[in-house]
Amino acid sequence: MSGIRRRATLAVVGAAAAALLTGCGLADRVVGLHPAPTEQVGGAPLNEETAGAIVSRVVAQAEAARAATGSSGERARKAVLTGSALDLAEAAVSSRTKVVAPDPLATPDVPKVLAIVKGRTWPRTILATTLDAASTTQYLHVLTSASPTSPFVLSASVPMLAGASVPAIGPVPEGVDTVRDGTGLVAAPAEILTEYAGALAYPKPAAADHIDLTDVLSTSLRGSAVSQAKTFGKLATLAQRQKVDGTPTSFRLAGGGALVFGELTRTDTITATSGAKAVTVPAEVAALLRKSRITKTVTVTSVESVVFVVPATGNATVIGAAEQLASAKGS
Amino acid sequence: MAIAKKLLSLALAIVGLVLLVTGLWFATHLGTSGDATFRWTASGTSPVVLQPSLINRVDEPLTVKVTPAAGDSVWTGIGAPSDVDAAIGTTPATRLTRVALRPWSVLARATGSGTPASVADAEIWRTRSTTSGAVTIAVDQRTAPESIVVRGEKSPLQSVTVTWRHRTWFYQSLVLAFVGLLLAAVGSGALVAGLRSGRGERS
Repeated sequence: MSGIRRRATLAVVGAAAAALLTGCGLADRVVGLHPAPTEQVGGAPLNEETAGAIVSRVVAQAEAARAATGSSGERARKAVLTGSALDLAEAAVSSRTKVVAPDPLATPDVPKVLAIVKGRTWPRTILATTLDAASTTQYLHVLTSASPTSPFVLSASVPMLAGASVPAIGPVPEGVDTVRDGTGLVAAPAEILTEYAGALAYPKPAAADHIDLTDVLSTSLRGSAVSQAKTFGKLATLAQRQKVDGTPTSFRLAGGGALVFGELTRTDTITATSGAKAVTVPAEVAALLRKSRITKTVTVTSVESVVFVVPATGNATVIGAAEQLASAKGS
Repeated sequence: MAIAKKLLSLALAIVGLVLLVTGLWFATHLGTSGDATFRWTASGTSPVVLQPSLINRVDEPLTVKVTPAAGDSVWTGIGAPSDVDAAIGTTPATRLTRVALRPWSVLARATGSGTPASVADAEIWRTRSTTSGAVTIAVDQRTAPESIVVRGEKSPLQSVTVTWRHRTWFYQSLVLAFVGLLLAAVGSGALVAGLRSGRGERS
């Protein structure tokens, strides 16, 4: 029995000595080492301050790029703009629309970050707003970063319609979900855009079952088509059609709806009737054609960026829009 | 029973000795300020990533000092670990993973291959800056976990040192050494007494 006890004692003492000689975590305990905390991957991937600095930089660079000319201007626009923001800027160039360069001495508009799309994956998206002090126009901006090493670029920059507002989105640090389908909405964002495009067609607009068309933009577009057609009288016919470009970018609102950014291309076709010798076209079209009268057909293309609030119930409404004449072709 | 007592006394003496040496060793490295400073001598041009396993493992403020080559600047970015990993991807980087007590240094691991990622273009950083000359970064554990990326603007970095300051660590080390001294004294005393009494019984 004493032999067994002796061996057991030897084993215990040996093990204790070996453990202590190898440290047994002694150093770790002295300095308080512990595993690094686990990263929280929910919520917004950027803090509000960082996102605000990014928006300031991108908006300022975008303004400068829009006003830049020549090949360097083209490179600058492609470096900082994408999507509808780039299309509108390029349309301004192709239509020779004069863009006023930003005043380097003017105080830049201070952006307010409205939301950052949650999650750690790419592409990443920031929704922000700025108030243009000169025109007192509120702008909505969408910025995207395609990959971890790609800087944010401006993918949409749309002035809000007078009196319009953005419904609550939720706290910025919590992040916002993007919306890809019509779950919880009166219709999917893509359907709303298609429906809107159809509703603005002239002379045969389609029914818009999910959109309120009483906003300033829709009323103006539909009204101008009618008045323009009346102006042409029997000398020419006017046809307008809208095509949805790309995939809309949509953010989930706190109340369950969605804020939807979409892009449309509008094509106006003015065709002189057989009885007309020549038709006088609007001044901006005449400037592009370099003549004020046409004898056959002219096709005028415009790029439009629109922002909808699509609710869970009721009708979608347009809260922001930008339109830019792009080109005019014909004779 | 006598052998067991002798073995226990021997173990006590050994434990005491280990504690004594450990305590003195820590006290020597920490100094009276309680600064635990570890240094890594840089090599290569790839970005250097200080991982959370290095900078966020102690609940104490950490100071990182990055020294560039003479006349060069240091680019620094601090961001979420997953974002930093995504930005660097499979491109080359030197990852400082943890500190080693023997030798008293920062352990580094080279990863990836090809052309280094243009991490300065990435917009994943909570904060980023370019500083001429050596830069000192204060790491607050409230924002943990984070990764710090540093690189020389033109040339490879010279060194990176990390310092944790905890004034009581020095005194804790002294206490450890003192306890070790006591145990070693008691253990060796008991062992000597046991050996003498054993000899006396045999004679």
